[in-house]
Amino acid sequence: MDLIDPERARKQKTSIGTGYDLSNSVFSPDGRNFQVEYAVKAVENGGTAIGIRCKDGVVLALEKLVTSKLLKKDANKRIATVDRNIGVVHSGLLPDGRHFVSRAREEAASWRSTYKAPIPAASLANRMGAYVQAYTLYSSVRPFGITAIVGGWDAETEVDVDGAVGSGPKSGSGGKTQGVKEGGPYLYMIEPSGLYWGYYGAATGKGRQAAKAELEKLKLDPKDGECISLEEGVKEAARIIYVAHEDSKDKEFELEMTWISAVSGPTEGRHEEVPKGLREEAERLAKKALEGDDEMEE
Amino acid sequence: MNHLPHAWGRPRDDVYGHYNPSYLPTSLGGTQHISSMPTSHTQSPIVTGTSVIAIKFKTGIVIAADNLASYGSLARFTDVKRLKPFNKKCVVGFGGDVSDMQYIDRLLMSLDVQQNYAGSAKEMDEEDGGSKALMGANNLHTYLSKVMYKRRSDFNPLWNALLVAGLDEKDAPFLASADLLGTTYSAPTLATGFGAHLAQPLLRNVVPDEKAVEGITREKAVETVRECMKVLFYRDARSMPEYSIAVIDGSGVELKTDEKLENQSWAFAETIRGYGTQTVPVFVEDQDQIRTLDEMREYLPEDGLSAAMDDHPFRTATDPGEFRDIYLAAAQAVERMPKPRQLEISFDLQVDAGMGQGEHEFSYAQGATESWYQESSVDSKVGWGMFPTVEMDDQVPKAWKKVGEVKGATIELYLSEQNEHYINYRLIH
Repeated sequence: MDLIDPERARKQKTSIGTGYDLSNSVFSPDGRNFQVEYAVKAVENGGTAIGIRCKDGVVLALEKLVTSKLLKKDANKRIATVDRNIGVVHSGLLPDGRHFVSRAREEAASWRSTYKAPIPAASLANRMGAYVQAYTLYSSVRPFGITAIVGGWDAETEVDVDGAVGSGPKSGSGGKTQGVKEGGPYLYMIEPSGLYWGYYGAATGKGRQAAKAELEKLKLDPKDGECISLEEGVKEAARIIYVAHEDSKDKEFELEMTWISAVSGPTEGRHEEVPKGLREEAERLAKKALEGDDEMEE
Repeated sequence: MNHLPHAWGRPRDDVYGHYNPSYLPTSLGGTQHISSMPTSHTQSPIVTGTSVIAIKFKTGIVIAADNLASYGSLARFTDVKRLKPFNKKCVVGFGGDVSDMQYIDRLLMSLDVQQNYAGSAKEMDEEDGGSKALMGANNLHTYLSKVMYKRRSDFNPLWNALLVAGLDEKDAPFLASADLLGTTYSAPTLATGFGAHLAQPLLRNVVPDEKAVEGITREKAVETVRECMKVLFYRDARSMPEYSIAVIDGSGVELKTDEKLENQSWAFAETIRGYGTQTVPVFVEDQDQIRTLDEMREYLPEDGLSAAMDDHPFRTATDPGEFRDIYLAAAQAVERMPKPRQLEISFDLQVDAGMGQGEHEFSYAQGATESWYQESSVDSKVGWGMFPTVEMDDQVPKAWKKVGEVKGATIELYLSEQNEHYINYRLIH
């Protein structure tokens, strides 16, 4: 029996329900993969997740919707650490996110075992993009129901290979090139199709439109010299999550925030939770900013 | 014994018949094809690091190891850092094979990455009030000992001796060892390799048991470890004077990797004459002796010679300062005797200990006088591990000849006939 009826598909405006949306590896006549599009729908229902690439670090923030009053506060963290210097926040189907993170950790570990060095954020994004894309190709699997934001800091300092025991020769063969600077903040967003771009600021989930609008107002281009600092980024991130939550005000949420600073900064190049004190300060400012907006509207 | 090193450790042909090499591969004169040989793994280390030493103090741990990696007896790499910090409360010190150390270091790196999957420790700090959420040194030691035991059970050991130093889950000082056999033990002071013979006794003099840890300050522990590193450098031919030292306490890990030995004194080297039993001591006759005496100042016990004297009426000198002081004084006196010398002849040696703390007048038979101020901070209880302590009765053994007398301080010096390297002294109360 043929599930797909091209005749019927042509007559219908939406092409949905024509049969082309039943299998992953099949295009519709107008070149769409419906399974991927449905996966994006799953993401759109998730709590808002954002990432901001600042001058001296990256912030990841999440509007964690409280699904039950029986869940312990501040437990069940959702932003994951992949390698020391890389974090992932995702929106959509939570178990899919878990699998994504576990694969990312495997990729990071395998990179380390091959190259004896941490995986650059760009390489991780590339590998995860390829992995997610592979889940759009086969009828035996379904695409990931998440959009993931990958934030990382590649060390700006010279880093020894893992297990290094000495400083090596100071000159000549095997010597070091002086003054080479690399590294910095990286932010990528990977969608269910496998598509990924590098961003200055990224947002996904329910409140992504509002969040993107806010992100666009920030100075995030490192070239214009006014790019915001990590600490400002933390405060903006908190504010943006609160702004994005405005539309679903009736639901409770917790703000989860992590950051990665430069090696010379507060987290020493590591992906860590934003310290409680700083987070609470950022939340206080966020609430104040919202109240201010309300007053102005009145 | 045969002079050929090949023959050492093998059964003698004249006793056991010709050695049957048939079980060996053809490359070694046997008959076995290489593919039929049993699998074998590491049989010996290649590039090695020597001792690691560590001592507990009231609130933490001090650990040290030098920066040398030897290729056999060749001092091959001189900037090898053998102390690896794990987190804010653990450091692992590695002795033995350097490539295995690198392997374990990478293992620890991945362990650290996995530890942080659960969330960053800093945030947990604030909620739990302390660094208790961090993996403790005791956990790390358990992990490493299991790795070591697994590998030895596979007949593929990681050729290392490890010291794990840091704070445990309750933030109490923790120190334990694990080695290539998977053996583990714990003590308030530990040393691996040559250090287990040379440094451990010195460390134990300072911290004899767990109870004594309470009375040890951070400064005292650091100073003791530095002294031990010096002794190790004096006597371990696979060591170097640059070393790493780490202090772990509640405030975190303080790791210094480019420390240098200070105030070395090679005076004792003058007294070493080859190996094996010797009956005739020879004293070097040169001006260096005077300078050597000068160098001895730092070894004097803090509150004078009398501090080193306790309830034992007879004893050999056990403290480096005590020993060298008396020994060199005697050596000088003997040196000034006309040749041929007879050691039975006694001579006068005077030490006036009545001049108050920290100052002594020293004169020998010829009337030359030298006085000096000591600046030493070496505790009189620091033992000198290499010299045997001879138990004596109140009676002076007949074999011992009186070679000198220290007046004022009431010390008599004796030279033993059997072993004239050792000068023993007796206290007269």
